[in-house]
Amino acid sequence: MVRSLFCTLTLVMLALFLAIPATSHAEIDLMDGKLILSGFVKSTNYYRLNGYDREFKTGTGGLDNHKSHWDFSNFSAYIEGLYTIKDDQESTIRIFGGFKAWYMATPDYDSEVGDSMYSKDRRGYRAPDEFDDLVSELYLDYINGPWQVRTGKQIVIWGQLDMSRVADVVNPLDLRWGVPGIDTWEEVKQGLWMIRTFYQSQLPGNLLFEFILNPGYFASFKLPYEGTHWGSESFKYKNIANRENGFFSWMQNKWFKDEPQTWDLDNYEIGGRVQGYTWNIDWTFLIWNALQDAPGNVNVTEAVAFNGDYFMGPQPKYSDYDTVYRYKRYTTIGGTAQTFTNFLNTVWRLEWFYENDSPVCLGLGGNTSNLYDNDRADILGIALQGNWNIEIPWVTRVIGTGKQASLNFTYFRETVLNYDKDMCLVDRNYRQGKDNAESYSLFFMQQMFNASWTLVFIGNYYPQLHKWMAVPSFTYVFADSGHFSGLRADLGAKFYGGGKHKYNRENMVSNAYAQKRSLILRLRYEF
Amino acid sequence: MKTNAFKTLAVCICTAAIFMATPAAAQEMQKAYTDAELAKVREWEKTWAGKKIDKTNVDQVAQFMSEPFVEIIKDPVKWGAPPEGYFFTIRPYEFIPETPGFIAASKANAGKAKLAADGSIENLAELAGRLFMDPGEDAMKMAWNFEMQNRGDAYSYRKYSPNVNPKNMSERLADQQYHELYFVNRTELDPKPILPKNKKGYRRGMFLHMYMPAEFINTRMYTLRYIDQKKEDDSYLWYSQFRRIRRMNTSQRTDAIDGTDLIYDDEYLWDGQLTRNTYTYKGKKELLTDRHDGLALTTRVAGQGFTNNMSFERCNLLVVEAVNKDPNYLYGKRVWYLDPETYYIMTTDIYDQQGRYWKMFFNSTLPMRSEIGTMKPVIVSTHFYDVQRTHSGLASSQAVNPPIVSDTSVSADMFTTSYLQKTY
Repeated sequence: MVRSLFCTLTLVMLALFLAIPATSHAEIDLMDGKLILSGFVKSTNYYRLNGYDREFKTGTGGLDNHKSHWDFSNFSAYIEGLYTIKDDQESTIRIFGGFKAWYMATPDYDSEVGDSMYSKDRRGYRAPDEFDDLVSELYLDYINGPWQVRTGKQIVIWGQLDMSRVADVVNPLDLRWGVPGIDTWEEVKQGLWMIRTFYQSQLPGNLLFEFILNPGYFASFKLPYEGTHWGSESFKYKNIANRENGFFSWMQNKWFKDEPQTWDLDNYEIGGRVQGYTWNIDWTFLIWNALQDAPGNVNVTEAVAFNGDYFMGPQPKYSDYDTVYRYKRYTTIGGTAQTFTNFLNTVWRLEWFYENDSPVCLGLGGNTSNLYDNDRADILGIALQGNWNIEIPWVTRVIGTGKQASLNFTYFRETVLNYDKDMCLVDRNYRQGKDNAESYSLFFMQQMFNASWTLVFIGNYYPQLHKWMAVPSFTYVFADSGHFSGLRADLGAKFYGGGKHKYNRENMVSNAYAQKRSLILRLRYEF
Repeated sequence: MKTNAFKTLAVCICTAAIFMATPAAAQEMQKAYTDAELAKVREWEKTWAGKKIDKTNVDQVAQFMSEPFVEIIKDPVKWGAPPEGYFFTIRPYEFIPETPGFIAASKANAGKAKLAADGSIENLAELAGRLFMDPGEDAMKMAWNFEMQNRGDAYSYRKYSPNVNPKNMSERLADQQYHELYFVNRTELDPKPILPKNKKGYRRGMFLHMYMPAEFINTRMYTLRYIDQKKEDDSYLWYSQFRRIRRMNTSQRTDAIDGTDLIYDDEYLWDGQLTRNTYTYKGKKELLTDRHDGLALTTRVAGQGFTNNMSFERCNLLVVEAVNKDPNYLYGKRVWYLDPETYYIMTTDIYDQQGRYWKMFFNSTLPMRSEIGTMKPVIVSTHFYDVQRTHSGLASSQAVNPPIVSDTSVSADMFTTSYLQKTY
């Protein structure tokens, strides 16, 4: 049913392309401009470069679940529409909708990928499984003077950095098909049903007040499926008979079963933000009280039994266990600041957060394999970013045809203020025994040959864990005067390192990405 | 006898007093030609008006064209021409009046500008209209006359901009909606000459909503320029794909605008604080310019570096050389060809730091009926040529929607970060 819905959606979009010449407009205007449509269709493919990875036949341990190195081939589409009901001097009323769909073709040509997956995971991986998956955003927007009220499903961006989500705390991520920085927020963020209100004051600093109330909708953080491109390696020993799930999938599905009901007043989320401008600094201050997106608290007794039973005896059932994973409430305060200085011609961006009583698990030596209790941590995080336009001799003039390179460099550090060596902080990239985690990120972009080509480099490095990532990619923009107007082709590569370093082994840090070195091939049609 | 002499003296004194008290009243807006000059132009037009100019006869009017322009017409294949080549027609010269509000403000403010040695104007916020109705040979005054052209206080236009590679006749498109607002120096829309509640001292705001390239759809940006001529602009971008407000680096004005041959300083053929250049008057030059017809009747297919069937008229332009005070500035110099009637830069020649000819841009202007019913000349298109790289571009404000002059829907509220974040 879902597949037919997807096909229908695709056909409708194709019909729109054919019916409306798109030579002069990037969007489609219908009903005398009352309805505006735009979106994209995209095919994303990754070719794994790891020839000796144990997920392949050449590996050892009986864990192979791949026949092909093309282990990610996703066809996705996104369409957004804005319908204006009323727009006059007095007020504006509009409806905005963003809808997405996808079809993951990998299991079609590599049956081992599909066969190794848990059936429920496989369904969700291949195509939208629920209505909520299709609706990225859907809200009614009402503007009257200084007031603006948006009611419905929305994606809220409170951060200002490229990939880091330091002050960006509202919407949970969905990393099953992509990651921030490579894919759009519409694809990697889950909308939340909420009432969002803005008030533009006339106070000094042009203060803009924002208030958000989510009356009880819950969506959890979605990690990639086990055995898929972005997910952890398939961990289903063939000598453990009758296991439907891999081990990670076994745990993750228990997360979902233990998460709060989709609608419940106890799930309420509440918060707000003030934006202002003082002394040449654009700043924001925010506060957010919500349930965790991912469980940070476990029922230790149940968890030990639940994890242990996977490796022995007959197939365990979820119904055999009480709640294992708990989603606790906590409060975040934070803020952002941006300014420009003539010194070094730099745009400076700063973001910070303070998580008060953030739930964490306790395990011996901070190891999640040895859980024994739960705790609360107060965590302070700060990121500082510099942004420069750079004139590179010869390159800017000849290759860039006058376009300067853009460079962002970000330093991030977070510290647990009430640190205990048994706090399990591996998922936050902490090294065992350390009360802080650091990272450096780099974003570099150079348009070339009158912007027909663009080189983008994204990289990051965790100095304490020696983990790193490097993603160079080239984009070619097809000419609008030819038959391929609107098409963009991306060719790139993803490299990861440090996943096998001893600190990661000590910490049981997932080395999922360390095995994912890949070529990137992507074709997009944007309208 | 004594009585008559007294009366005569009194009349003379009164006349002198009136003359001194109202110096502006005696001044008129400049015209491109004196009557004698115009008579010669009319003679020439008897031969040429209505004639089609192409590569076969362009040499006969080449004295009224810049050298690169002649080359484009003569070597059309190099610049992506269709089989019929490139051509334009000659139309008769016609005077372009300013709006009554602009003329009144010019007269009321004549002689009031306090021009400092560094080229700045101390009392800029209080003034409006053409500050120097007779700039003589003072290039700085001419530059200020250009700067005070307010395009009807609020100007909205949809800029459809093919970025052309004539070598393979391919092009990539940009499509952007612009809204411009003058906070001061206003002559058309009330309140004049200053908008109230302008504590931060903004002079001009420019709002931009992008539709193409497609990856920038619904990305929005605004830039605010200050009355303080030593202050850098403030600029903010709402990048729709990442949904973030980014403060922009506004000091590097020599960065190319995505894929085009323009740098940020090149909008309107100069878009920066005026005091960053030194100016030298180089006399007058008659050139063929497009001042009355715009692109409404033109023909162009994708990949063309020049638009066919434009109409050009002779106009006696003021030549001003602008050299940036920064010795490391990207361009060695610009040469402006200013229309003395509108003070738009009709054509500019741009040289690199080695003194080699690099770029030629020219504007098309058109008197348009504003929302308050007056006729106001505005820029409706610009052609761009990089002759070193053989690359070109066009910005047309007539391709999608007609521009709106003195657009009353443009307000100061648009130049806020909260407006950037609104659903488009």
